[in-house]
Amino acid sequence: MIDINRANVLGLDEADPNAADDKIVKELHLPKGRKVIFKMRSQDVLHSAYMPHFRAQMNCVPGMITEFSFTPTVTTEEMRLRPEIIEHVKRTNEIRAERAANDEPNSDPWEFDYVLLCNKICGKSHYNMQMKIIVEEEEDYQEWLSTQKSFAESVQPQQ
Amino acid sequence: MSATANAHAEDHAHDHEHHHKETFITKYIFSQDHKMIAKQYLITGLIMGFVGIAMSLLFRMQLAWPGREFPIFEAVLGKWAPGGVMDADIYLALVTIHGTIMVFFVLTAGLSGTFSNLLIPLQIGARDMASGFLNMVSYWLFFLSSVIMVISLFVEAGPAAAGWTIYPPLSALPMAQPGSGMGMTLWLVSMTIFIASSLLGSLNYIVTVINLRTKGMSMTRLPLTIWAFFVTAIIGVISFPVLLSAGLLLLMDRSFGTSFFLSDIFIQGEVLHYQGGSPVLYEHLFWFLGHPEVYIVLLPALGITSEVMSTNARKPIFGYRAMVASIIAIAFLSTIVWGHHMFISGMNPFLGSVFTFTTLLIAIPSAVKAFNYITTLWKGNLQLNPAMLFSIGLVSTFITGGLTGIILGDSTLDINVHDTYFVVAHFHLVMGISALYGLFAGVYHWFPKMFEGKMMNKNLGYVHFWVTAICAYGVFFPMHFVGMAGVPRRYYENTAFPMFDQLTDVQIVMTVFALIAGAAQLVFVYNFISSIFYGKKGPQNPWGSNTLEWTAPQKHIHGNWEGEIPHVYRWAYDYSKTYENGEYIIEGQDFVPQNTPIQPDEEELNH
Repeated sequence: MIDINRANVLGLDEADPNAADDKIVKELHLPKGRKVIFKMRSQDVLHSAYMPHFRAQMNCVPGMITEFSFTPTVTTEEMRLRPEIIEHVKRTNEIRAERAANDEPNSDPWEFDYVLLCNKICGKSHYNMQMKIIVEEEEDYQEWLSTQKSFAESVQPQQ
Repeated sequence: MSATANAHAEDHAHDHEHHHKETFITKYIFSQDHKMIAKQYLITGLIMGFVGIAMSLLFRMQLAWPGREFPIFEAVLGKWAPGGVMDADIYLALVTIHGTIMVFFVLTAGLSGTFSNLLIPLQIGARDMASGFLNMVSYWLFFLSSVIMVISLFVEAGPAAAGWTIYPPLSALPMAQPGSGMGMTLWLVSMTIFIASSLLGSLNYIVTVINLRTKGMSMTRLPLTIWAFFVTAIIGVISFPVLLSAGLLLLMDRSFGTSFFLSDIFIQGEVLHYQGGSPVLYEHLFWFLGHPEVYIVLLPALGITSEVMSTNARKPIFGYRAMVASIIAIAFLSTIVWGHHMFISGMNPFLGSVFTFTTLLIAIPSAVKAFNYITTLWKGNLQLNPAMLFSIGLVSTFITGGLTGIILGDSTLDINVHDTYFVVAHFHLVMGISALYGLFAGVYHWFPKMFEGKMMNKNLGYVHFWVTAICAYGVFFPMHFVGMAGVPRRYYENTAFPMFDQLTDVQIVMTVFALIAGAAQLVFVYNFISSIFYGKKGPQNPWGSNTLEWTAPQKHIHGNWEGEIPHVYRWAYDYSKTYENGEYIIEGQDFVPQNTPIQPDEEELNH
């Protein structure tokens, strides 16, 4: 059961030993050069996990598990050095600087990141359902992974 | 059967002189005359079209200028646009109802309903539809469903907002979004009545075409319009009941606690009891109608184009039998390709490859049609009146939109652009704009038939066409690139993603084109209404056309023809036909109407 007060944000079953080592994250880290298998579920309505930079997309369907896999080949850092991305970021930040000058919203400077966005109409906040994806070298990935708490560690004990 | 029906019709002809008492109500409201019902369909369809297009202009403004205050928003949307800023919920509702209205109410009922009713009896040489009463019921059910759909716009929690495909669980759970309450119930009720209307209409068209053709009108002498309406009606009868089943099961899930489409749902802090259903089942049922629906919309437009183009090129249609075969092939294939809407739904990927195969097969009959249109135009004596321009426009948008269909029909290429604006651009060009062009071509061409010889203003028609044609591409051509950049459809605004910032200017361009296109439709509305009252009366056969409707008197009479029904001796496309010595078959006339017997020295060509 979802229990925000006890940090069980996904509603995992605390009695399930297979859930204990799960890691619940707010941004997705992927290791470069290793095949990643996504297994997707949904608990409310249909969503679609769309990762446009990877040309990957799969619906998340309540009641079943859908799968997609790919191998990331370019880290976020490497991507940021690509001329077309530099150009894209420059153009975007010019627009955002103009907005800042006019005191308009959405004017913070932007840095390139991979994104995962929802691409199946899911309600009022559909247009803002997103997650950052970071592709990094294997060792950086392992380092990040080791700092993440498992579900068993992160969930607060029952009062 | 056909002989009996003809005999009956002829009996009717002989005692035709006696006066039918008609009151205002039986003549204009509960009319059983196919010509009046056609006009009722057209006008209801155009009014719904006005609503649908106006909605698209509202949400296009929101997309171009996200979060901007527009007094018009507050004026039209009221509490859904506090201070003139559009609310995210009503954005989704507008998108949903725009899609529903345009696909079903305008391009299915407004297009197929209008022209099937008007042309089937007139072009096959029948006094009326097989059942005038069912035809009347069909129209009034359509009217009722339109009224319910419009009423759903005014319920407190707002109209349906789950997208025109109303995928559950979003559409099934009132707690998922406000539009899934009463608004969705009314949507389902409206569509249920619409389907009943569509079935009654379609069955009537099929029976009429099969049984009531005049003497000599063999199936291979039918004008291509009738072939298109006939086959459209058949795929409607096959696929609409499946949508009805999907709608009913959804209604059961919503109201009676069944779990056809729902499973394992936890929403707003509550575990729901649904177990074992699957939204993918709904998707299968929906698209089993949804895809043939594309062709239900498009085939009548293609039929109208064939007729208008051949008449105005003063040439026989190129490849008559190939055209008929491709209509049938498209209709058959349209029922086995629905899975291409579901490549990333979680469906087995192997099925994806099967549906890719069947989908790409449709390119063959579609290309046959496109080539035949072009070869019909080739070296023709082109009469570029508004109907002809819209027909040529249709061929253009059909090709442009069809080419991107090859990309989307491929299960691997689709992954990247699925549910992005690339898809929106594709289907608007290939079915939306193309079918609208077909509708306009039909209205300009058969206006004199509908309104007792009055003609629409040609110059206003030119303005209407050129502004519409330029703006339609202005809206939908750039949209492909927006989609390729990854912008998803049904987003209230794109500002949550800085990577889309650079596309804002393109959004503004598209919206400006859309607003101009919308304004151009007012020219059409003005032309349409003023021509009904003040249009100049043209000759009985204003376009020099071969088909039978132009042999009927301009004044509408019950039974269509005074005296006997004309007999048919040739196909519908003897334009510019000559004897071997180069003289026209009928001296000084480059067309030979279908009711002209084969002349003594004339060679009858087998088409």
